[in-house]
Amino acid sequence: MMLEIDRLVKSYSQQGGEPLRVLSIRRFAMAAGERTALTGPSGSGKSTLLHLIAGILRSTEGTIRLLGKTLEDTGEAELDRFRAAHIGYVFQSFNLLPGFTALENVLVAMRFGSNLSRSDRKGRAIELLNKVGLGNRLHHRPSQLSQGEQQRVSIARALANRPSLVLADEPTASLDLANAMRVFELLTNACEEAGAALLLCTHDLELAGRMERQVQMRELSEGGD
Amino acid sequence: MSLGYMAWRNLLNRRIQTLITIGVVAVGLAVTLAILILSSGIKQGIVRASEPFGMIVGSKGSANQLVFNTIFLMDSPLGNLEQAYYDRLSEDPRVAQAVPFALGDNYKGFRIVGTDPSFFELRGRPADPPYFRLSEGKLFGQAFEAVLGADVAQETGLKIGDRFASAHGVVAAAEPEEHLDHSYTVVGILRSVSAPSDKGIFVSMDSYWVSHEHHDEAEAGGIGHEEEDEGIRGVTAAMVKPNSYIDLMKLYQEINQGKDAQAVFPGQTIAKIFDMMGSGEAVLRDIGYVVLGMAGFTVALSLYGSSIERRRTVAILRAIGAGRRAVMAIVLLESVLIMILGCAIGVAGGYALAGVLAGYMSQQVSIAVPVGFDREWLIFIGMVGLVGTAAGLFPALGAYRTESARYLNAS
Ligand SMILES: Nc1ncnc2c1ncn2[C@@H]1O[C@H](COP(=O)(O)OP(=O)(O)OP(=O)(O)O)[C@@H](O)[C@H]1O
Ligand SMILES: [Mg+2]
Repeated sequence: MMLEIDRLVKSYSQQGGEPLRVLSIRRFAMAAGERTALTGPSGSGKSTLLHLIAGILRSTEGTIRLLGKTLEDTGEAELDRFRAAHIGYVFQSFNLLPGFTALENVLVAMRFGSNLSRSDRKGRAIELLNKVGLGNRLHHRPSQLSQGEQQRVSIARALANRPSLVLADEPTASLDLANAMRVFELLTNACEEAGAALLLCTHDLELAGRMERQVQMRELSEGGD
Repeated sequence: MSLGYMAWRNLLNRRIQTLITIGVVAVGLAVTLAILILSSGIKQGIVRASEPFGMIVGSKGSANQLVFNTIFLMDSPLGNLEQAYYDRLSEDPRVAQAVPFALGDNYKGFRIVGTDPSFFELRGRPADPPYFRLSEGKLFGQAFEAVLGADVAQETGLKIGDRFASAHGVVAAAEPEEHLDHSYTVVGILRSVSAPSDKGIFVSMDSYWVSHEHHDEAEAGGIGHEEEDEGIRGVTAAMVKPNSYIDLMKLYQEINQGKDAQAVFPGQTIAKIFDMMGSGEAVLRDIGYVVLGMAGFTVALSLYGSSIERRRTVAILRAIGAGRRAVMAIVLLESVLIMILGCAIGVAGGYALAGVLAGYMSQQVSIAVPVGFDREWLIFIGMVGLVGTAAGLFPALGAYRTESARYLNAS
């Protein structure tokens, strides 16, 4: 398995009380290239899970093994490099660095996680932006792009370093229906083409239904403890 | 893509804020630096202007006034030294040279100084060339020949061979009462010494006396000018060069203990004037520091003000794999860039401002104010840069500590 999660707990300490347990997962695994939809009500811990897998948050208990690496045993600096090289991230909105053009936003990600040469990086970034239909908007900044276009740039960026896993946190939630569909198709197709696994969380059950595997947060935590 | 470039793009993204911050730093630094440059330049200029005058002897009264009379050609002249006193002084075996200096008339407000050719022998230091040198013509030989200071020639347009009539008193009157019978002929023009002496007209003692005796006759029978005319045969001051340092000190003591005259070292008097000016300068400098403090505050505020936007930027950077150090470096580089630009513009602006004001001053008081450089200022500029960068350290640390997960989903 590419991703294996075992008895994972995340809790936050509270003033004068028991720690607040926001996430508890008994077992969850994903195979390489697998595309999974994660659904669950607001506050059920979807975003928290993605942050934990990306190593942005640290778990309270349990283990996450990704590509053979146990995140709990990995130092922060190494985790940063690991994330840059192997994980692509797409969030709901405000994905892009505001001062940078579409092309630069993709290049920034490559600066931290790519082993390509300088000139190859630019070529790949342009190729990716072409693929998401923004070949003619390379030098525009986020403020000059629509929400849907911004999401497409962030998809290009997420795939820039040929990640093994793409984490998408409600990537279509701030888009209208037509745009949402387009971005969703683009994301799933691009991941398939790139051979990257995709873990996408969403409120949208119809969207989730289009993915090869659906998981509900409730199922994961069932029988957790 | 370098971290410096990324910092630069972040700054460009907050263009207005960045420009204001750079502007405040630059203005604060420019004002303070200009004050530092000018105050040291003015001192140097005045000290240089006073160098050739040595010890000045004049009648009892204010030492400041005596210095102003001779070196600055300003202020109303002290009463004259009696001729007998001056003669005794110049014949004293301890005195190598006593140069007379007599005020009384003017031409269009430029003071006419009665002196003798030894005036043109005065030097800053014994090894220096003479301080006053001709650029054209010759020194005065006989009565009613005049040598003009450089500014006088330039501002009046008088040339060699031209004639002009003097007026009584040291300031131009609305209706000048001219010594019509005796007009001067310009025989020489001095090189500029960038000192108040450029505004002087130098004539022989003979012309000075003849002119004033004539004046006495003209006034005789009318309203008496006894008071003013009493010491007319005499000089306002004498520049005394002694034979040795011991002679100098002895003369200085003797003269000041006597009741006829005072001896003044212009350097000392000017130092006292500087002390008085010093408190004004300190106020100006304090204002400069306050402006700079505000500049530092603005940098901190502007960096803090952008912290919400920065949190999101930091969160995005972390999510795509940037390490804490890289993120901190970017934020710190932002303030470094602001300070480098602000300091560069501030230094250029400070020198430009000092240059303009120095030019204005040398026009107004004929004192060459050198716009120089002092290593202390470099330290000061460095301090400003350092403090500004330190102001950027707080948001940088904030970025370092940012728990990025919290800002990833913010919508
Ligand atoms: N720093 C924190 N301190 C305390 N509680 C937190 C913190 N961060 C998140 N939580 C809590 O953890 C829970 C899970 O949050 P999370 O954002 O993962 O939910 P979610 O499933 O993504 O919800 P949504 O669908 O609304 O995005 C929430 O109840 C939230 O309040
Ligand atoms: Mg969420």
